[in-house]
Amino acid sequence: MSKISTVPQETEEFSLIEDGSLDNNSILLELRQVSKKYGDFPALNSINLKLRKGEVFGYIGPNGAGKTTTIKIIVGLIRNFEGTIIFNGKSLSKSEDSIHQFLGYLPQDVGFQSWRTVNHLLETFGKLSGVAKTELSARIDSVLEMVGLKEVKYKKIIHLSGGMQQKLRLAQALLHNPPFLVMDEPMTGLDPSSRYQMKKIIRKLAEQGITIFLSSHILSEVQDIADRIGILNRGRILNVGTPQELQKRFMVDHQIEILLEESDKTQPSFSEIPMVTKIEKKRSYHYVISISNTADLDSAISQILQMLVNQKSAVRKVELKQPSLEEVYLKYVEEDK
Amino acid sequence: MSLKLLFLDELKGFYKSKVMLVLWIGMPLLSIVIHSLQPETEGIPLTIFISLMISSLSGTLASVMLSTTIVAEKNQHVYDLFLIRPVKSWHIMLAKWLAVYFCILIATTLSIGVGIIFDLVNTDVPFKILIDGLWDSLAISLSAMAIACSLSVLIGILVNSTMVAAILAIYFGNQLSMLAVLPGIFFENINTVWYSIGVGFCATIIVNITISLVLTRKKL
Repeated sequence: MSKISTVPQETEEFSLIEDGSLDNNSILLELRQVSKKYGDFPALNSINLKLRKGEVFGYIGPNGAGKTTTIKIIVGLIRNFEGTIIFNGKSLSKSEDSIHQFLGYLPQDVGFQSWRTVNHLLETFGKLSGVAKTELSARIDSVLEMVGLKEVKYKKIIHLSGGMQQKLRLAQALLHNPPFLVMDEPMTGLDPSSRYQMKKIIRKLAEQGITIFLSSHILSEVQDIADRIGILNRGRILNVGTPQELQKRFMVDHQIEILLEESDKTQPSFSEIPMVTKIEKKRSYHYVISISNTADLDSAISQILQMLVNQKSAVRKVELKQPSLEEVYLKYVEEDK
Repeated sequence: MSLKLLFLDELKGFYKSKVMLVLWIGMPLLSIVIHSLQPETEGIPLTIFISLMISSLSGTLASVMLSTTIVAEKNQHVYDLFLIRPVKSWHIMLAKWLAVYFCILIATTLSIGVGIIFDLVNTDVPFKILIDGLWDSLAISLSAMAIACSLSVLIGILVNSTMVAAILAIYFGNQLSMLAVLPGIFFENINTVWYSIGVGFCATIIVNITISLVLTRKKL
């Protein structure tokens, strides 16, 4: 029998860790062996995940990987699942609602009642979230200011653009000043300018110490704002780590980009170097050389440079390329097929 | 706490979406217009005629509106933002039922008030006879509407198509609810008022308990 767990009694318990160490006190949320089936289809398969206080956690995976299911379990919209969720180290029964006061949720695709204005929606959700009457008006102004919707406060929601409605979804999530924010594909359907603004807001929230769990199917949306990333595919977590750790763990060949003078006609013979696995000639003067990931990289670079010097090539640039996080992600997902 | 808040919120919604305007002003006006076009209502005073009409028209309107609104809001995941807060799903539904029923109650009261004044001014029917006839039809109408509205909420929860919800609300919600209270009219040894109120109250409670039980297993 599964359990949704714990809730601290006081908000002060959400003090942020400074050193980022993964001791028990630093963990805000933990998913233990969480599984969920829709009929016979396993949407989530024994997920284990730890979320540190104060971090921005990017949860990425292709469409249908189980991201929204995970999020709905975390926020309490799905209660019929297997496994345990531990919140701030304490256990709660499955029917416990008190997690709500510590949680803001930006859903992926949620409609609004057509008669509501921005202000009325925020008033209702503010009251339901327990914001004091005396503070509600100021809180509404504050969140609208933060997401840039102050000028449409009294407009009907149906008259707002898609981007504005997404910002409103964020505004309602922040109303009660939660220390933990769960965002399901927050950038979906936004134009480039709105995406930029949304990223800016998320960064600002992270700077304020809010723990953020952010899902996306596009890695580039999260890689520059997430402290750690979890890669999910077909209901299983394939890897978790910082963007740098994921890149390091990903055993691909090293790549060296070599740029010669445009007029150079020396035709370097990279294939003579034993650890070279692939030569990609982009132009007559532009090469990308792959070096086996088991080879000694320093030795390989020095051999390449030596060969270029010997052949009197006019070298303009030699650069070691890291595999992009996008490549790492795609590789993981491809290998999992 | 959340139930009161949700109820007031729903009322505000009806006010904003002009549903109240239709029910509170449109229904009494419509009844007067119909009476003016056909003053002979088979010997029935306008007051009673209106209450019967309200039970049919506004009951149907409210039932269909309730069930289709719930289906549409459910399909748009409108309730997700409520349910991640300390709000019970059956509170959301009960608030909807209460708000709709409150609106119908006001509409009925206004219509009947207009009808009584109309009858007193235009006919020789004594006030006592007017009132005596009124209680029976009022009890039948309001009980039938209470059942119809709660059945419509249940239909809205169980069905995923607005079209199907509208059809079911008309047949099951509105038409069948009348069957529950009709014996009060046909059997002389039954007190119509108390029978209708009793059946209406019990049936509404049973349907609302069913709703809360369904919601423990089914997500909104």
